[in-house]
Amino acid sequence: MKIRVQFCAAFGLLLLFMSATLVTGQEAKDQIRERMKERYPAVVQAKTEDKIGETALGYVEIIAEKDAKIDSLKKLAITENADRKQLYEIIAGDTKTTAEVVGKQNALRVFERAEDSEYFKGEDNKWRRKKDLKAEEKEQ
Amino acid sequence: MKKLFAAVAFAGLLLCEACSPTVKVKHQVEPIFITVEVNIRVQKELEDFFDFEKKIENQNQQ
Repeated sequence: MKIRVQFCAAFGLLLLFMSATLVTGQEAKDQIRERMKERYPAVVQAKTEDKIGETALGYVEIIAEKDAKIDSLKKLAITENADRKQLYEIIAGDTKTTAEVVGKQNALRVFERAEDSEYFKGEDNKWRRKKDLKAEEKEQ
Repeated sequence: MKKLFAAVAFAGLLLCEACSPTVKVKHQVEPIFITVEVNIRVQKELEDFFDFEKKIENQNQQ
């Protein structure tokens, strides 16, 4: 009888822990979404002005060295990437893969949705506009 | 004599086995399938998460 009570208590605790973990993950995602939603117009504007671009790993980067000194732009890129990193880790946990895979998948998603004029950093570390990347792909 | 015949027959059998062509086909469908399935799940999660982008863009267009 005592063993059964102990087993039930342990099982209950396990369930409580599991549900708490799930809620925490969802809450973290919601918080990240809110922050990214607020930041989104600024990110779009910086992309339109050719200040930041997307990397193949799913993060943003400042394109020109001179712009890397602008504090507001630096802060934008750092906070955006910190949230993306956290998001990729959560999704990787949910889908049983790695944050790197999630980041690369997001890079593909962003590329599909991007305007032709937006900048992307290739694996050779060179910045190219989407239209140029598409043209290169056609040539090959 | 019987022993010699048996030895020759056994050696012949080994030779045939050694010379017979074998084709090994590795089953590689499963890992590809798993990768695609994971990528689809990841894409779905990302699409759900970033649905606010479409909403903001639609609001701006209106």
